[in-house]
Order: sequence, then structure tokens, then C-alpha cells
Amino acid sequence: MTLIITKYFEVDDMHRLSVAKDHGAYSSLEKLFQMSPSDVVDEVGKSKHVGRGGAGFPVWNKWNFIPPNSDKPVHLIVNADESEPGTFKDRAILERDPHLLIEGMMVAAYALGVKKIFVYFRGEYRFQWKRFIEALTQAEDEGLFSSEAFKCDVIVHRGGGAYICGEETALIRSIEGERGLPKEKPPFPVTEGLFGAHTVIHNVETLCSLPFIISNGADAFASIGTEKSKGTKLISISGHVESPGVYEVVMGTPVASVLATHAGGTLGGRRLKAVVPGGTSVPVLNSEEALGARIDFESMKEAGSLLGSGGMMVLDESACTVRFLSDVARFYANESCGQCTPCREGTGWIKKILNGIESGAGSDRDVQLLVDVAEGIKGKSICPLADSLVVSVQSFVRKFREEFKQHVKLGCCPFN
Amino acid sequence: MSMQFKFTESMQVRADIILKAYPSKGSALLPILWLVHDQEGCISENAAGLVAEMLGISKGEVLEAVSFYDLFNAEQKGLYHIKICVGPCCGLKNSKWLLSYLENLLGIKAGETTMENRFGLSTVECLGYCADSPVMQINDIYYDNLTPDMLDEIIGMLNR
Ligand SMILES: Cc1cc2nc3c(=O)[nH]c(=O)nc-3n(C[C@H](O)[C@H](O)[C@H](O)COP(=O)(O)O)c2cc1C
Repeated sequence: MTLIITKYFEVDDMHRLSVAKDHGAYSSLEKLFQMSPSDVVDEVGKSKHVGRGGAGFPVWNKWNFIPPNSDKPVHLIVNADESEPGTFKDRAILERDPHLLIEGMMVAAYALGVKKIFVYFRGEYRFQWKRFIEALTQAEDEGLFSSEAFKCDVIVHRGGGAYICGEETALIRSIEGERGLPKEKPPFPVTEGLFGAHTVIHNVETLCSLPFIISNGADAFASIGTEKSKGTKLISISGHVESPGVYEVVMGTPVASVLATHAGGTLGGRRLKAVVPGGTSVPVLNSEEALGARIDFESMKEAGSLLGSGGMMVLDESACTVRFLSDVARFYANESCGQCTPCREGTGWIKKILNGIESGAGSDRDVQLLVDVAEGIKGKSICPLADSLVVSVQSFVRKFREEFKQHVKLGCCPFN
Repeated sequence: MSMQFKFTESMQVRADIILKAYPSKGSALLPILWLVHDQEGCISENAAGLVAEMLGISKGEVLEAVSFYDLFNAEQKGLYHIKICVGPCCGLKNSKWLLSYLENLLGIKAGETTMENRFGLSTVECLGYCADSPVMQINDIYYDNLTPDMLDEIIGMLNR
């Protein structure tokens, strides 16, 4: 199987430049600097590479929004804010192969004429932040960011613990020194972003495929995966499986095979109940839907969910879906930035109702109220945070309504 | 508590480097706050005032940021600040039950600190260590695949 990102994850000390170089790090640069920046853009376009940050936006399309003769600078932001529950794949890259990310940043920056890169780190990732800075310093000391062919500054910015700062406009404000409150789009960051400059924001994993595309060519990349989903995807698996962890799979791999082989099956061989396939922001799949789906953008949509961040949470028959959803709701209520009333009030309300149902104090009306509140706040905020909770609530209630009713009827959680 | 905040010499050097690297003074707010937090374990009002002066913004703006970003404490949370994850993935591995166990062990509720500020206990929504759940963090160290026995051992060790 082709591995693009995790190839050297098992090698010790890959964050050391010498070790990384022994394993091919920065080997795409020679070819990169022989190409013109616009050739690089074209090559990435031909690869049909799509962003891995959750929204599934094609990389080239984003790049193509930069007006060709603008006199404003272009900034690159690396989104390493990874904070969605169940998602920890970027963390794995930052720990085990930070030079791959640095090389990917260089490819994007070279292609787009970027002179300033900002790397926005999740505040909680202190160890990974230190390790990244160590790796970056070695790369800078080696002259990689100050050569004839390529000159660029890198600022590593550490967040303060706010999920919303992963959203690009909030992230930009957070770098600018404000609280991370999302802004209306347009203007999109690529038109008017950080400090007013054209700003291209990419997820960590997205950038890590670029060296492969340069070294092996767009066709090699595009030959991996499915019609619309090219390359590989990192999946972070948690919950009720024997071997939770981060695994790289070729796009199009059946969920059933990932669960059975990589994840080692469900804990103790218990029956599968549900899978949330792409972080807490995507609809839940019941076992049948999950086992019929494949890991790619189109199949996940067909199955009724989204590939999202690839944070796959597995619930077996012992799990209480009401409690899980209640935990999800508490997360969104805590992380709502408070700027839009429907989100601030709605997520809090949903949290309260779910808490009531879960503890056995809910009524049948509460289950309906839950659905109504979710419907009522849908699409009414500046950013998609509240809507993420809405799709979770709607899908859980639709697919596991019996469990909600049981809580009401018994006056307690049947899974305790 | 009413102590006047001042950067140590080495922190001041780091602050100067940061101020030079950032495109505008105000944009250096987060990294400067991190320096204060690393030095003091919290960001006091007094320190917020100094940061405001340094960056040419109002003290109110600094305090707003401190309350917006979860990782900044306005006051010290104990010599050992325990953060136990109660997010969805840890929830699947019974973290709530471990939280109760920890509360009993320490004799405090989440959000409180023990006498003499030895332990502070907080709940957090996700630490990003979901494959190793249930997890908790004490200062900069992560403890994963937690069991009650492990909690006994860890707290016992830190109590010595
Ligand atoms: C509430 C919220 C949180 C987000 N968090 C992240 C994150 O932690 N990391 C990330 O890469 N993208 C996150 N995104 C998506 C980003 O806004 C953006 O689409 C992404 O970084 C673009 O990268 P890509 O084009 O490489 O996929 C988040 C979006 C929302 C609405």
C-alpha cells in the first residue's frame, strides 16, 4: 500500500533534521526549485488534491482565487489548531514527522510567492509545539528558509485553548491579537485575510501531501484513491475498538476493513452500534451505514455523513448514544464564542435538555423540544459551529430515538 | 497576590524577540500572555495592566482575552493542576466515573483547589489524546489509559 504521510512514523527521532534527511526529507526541493511557481500551482491542480481540514475544498481552487497581479502580499497560515473531539491526526504528524510538514509548507509558499508563514498551534499541544520549533530551527539553521531560491519568515503562534480559533476568520483575528470571533464571509481570507493580505489557510495534513506530488508528479498522486478523492487520508480512531490510533488509508478504503484490520475490531468483539466518522461535527452513522461506507468524500456523503477531519469515533452496543451526544453538546456550548445569539443560547439549551434526558429527568416533550431547538438555530449564525451540533442532534435522534425514549420511560440511563 | 508583576530577565529577552517578530505590537498579545502565564502560572490583573502597556492596548482588552482563551488562568490553580478530560471519547471510556473517584480522593469538586493550594482540579472537554482515553493532564504531563489504581498511585506520589 502507498503511504504518503506516515511512511516514517515508526522511525525514532524523525524530528531531528539529520534523521529526517536520511529518510528522504526535503528531497522534493531540488525538483521544486527547478519548476516555476506557476508550474507548481498547475501540478497541484492536476493532482486534484483536496483539503483535509474538514471542509473538503480543492487546494488548487483556493490558490486560484489569488489575483495574479495584486500588489498585496500573500500569507500562508498552517492550521494546526486541531481541537475537535476525536481528531488527533495532525498531532501525530507534528510529533512523528514535523519536517514533512515544514517541507509541505515550503512547497505551498514557493508556489504562491509567500514571504511570511504563520503556524497556528493548538494551545494544548505544548509538547508538539516545542518539537516543531526544534525541527523548524534546525531547518532554518540549515539555510532552507534563506536560500537563493527560497526566502521566507515563519512565525509560530500558539493558541490559547479555543476550538473556534480553528475556523479561519477566527484564527486570523486571534493572530491579529483579538479574541477569536468569526467574521462574515465574503471577503474570504484569500481576498482579504491576515493583516489585510491575501491569506491561504491549510490544514497540516493537506500540506503534507505536497512533497509527494512534487517528487512523484501529479499523475502518481491522482492515480491513488477514487474518482473524486485522491491520495490517502489519515484516520484517527477512538472509542470502542481494540487498537485505537492514527492510521493512513488510501481514499476509498471500506470502513469495515479499517475497523477490522487497523483498529483490530470492536472492544471484546462486541456488536457495533454507531460510528461518527469525521469528528464531532458530522452526522452519526448506524452500524449498517458505517459498515457499507468507504473512507472518501463521495462515499461518506452517500452514506449520510461527511469525511470531515477523519476523526472516527466508534460506539459499541454498551455505549449510551444519549450520553455521547450530551458530551458533544456540552463541548459546543462551551466553545460557542457567544457572538451570535442562536448559537450562544441554542447550544446551551440543547446541552441542558440532553443533560436532563440523560439523567432520567426528561419527558417525551423534551425529545421533541430538542429536535425543534436544533431546527430553530440551524443556519442562523456567522460560522458553522452551531450547525455542527445541529447535524449531530438531528442524526442521533433520528437514528437512535428508541434510546432517548427509553431514558424518559425508565427515568434513568439504561446503560448504567 | 498584590505583588507587582515583572518579567524575569530571560523572559524579557523572549518578549523583546516576539515584539520584533510580530507585524504589529497588538498582534503579539497571545505570545506575550503565554510568557506571563509560563512565568506566573496565571495572569493577574496587575500583569494584565503591564501587558496592556507593553502592547499599547487597553487593560480591558487584555482581560477579555484572558477570559476568552480557556488555557489562561486568572489565578493560580494549585501546585499540581489536574485537568481530567470528560469529552465524548473519554466519556465512552467512563471518564465521569473516574472524575468522581478523583473528587473523592482529593476531597474537592471540579473547579476547586485543595487546602494550601496543592491540587487544583478542572474538567476539560478534549485534550486530543482520544486514542489513549481516559486521559488527564497534570501541569505538563499527560497520563493515559487511566484506572482508579493509577489515580491512587499518582495522587499518592504527588502528595508526598
Ligand atoms: C469551528 C471550526 C473549527 C475548525 N477547526 C479546524 C482545525 O482545527 N483545523 C483545521 O485544519 N481546520 C479547521 N476548520 C476548518 C478551517 O476553517 C479551514 O477550512 C481549513 O483549515 C482549511 O484547510 P484545508 O483547505 O487544507 O482543508 C474549522 C472550521 C470550523 C468552522
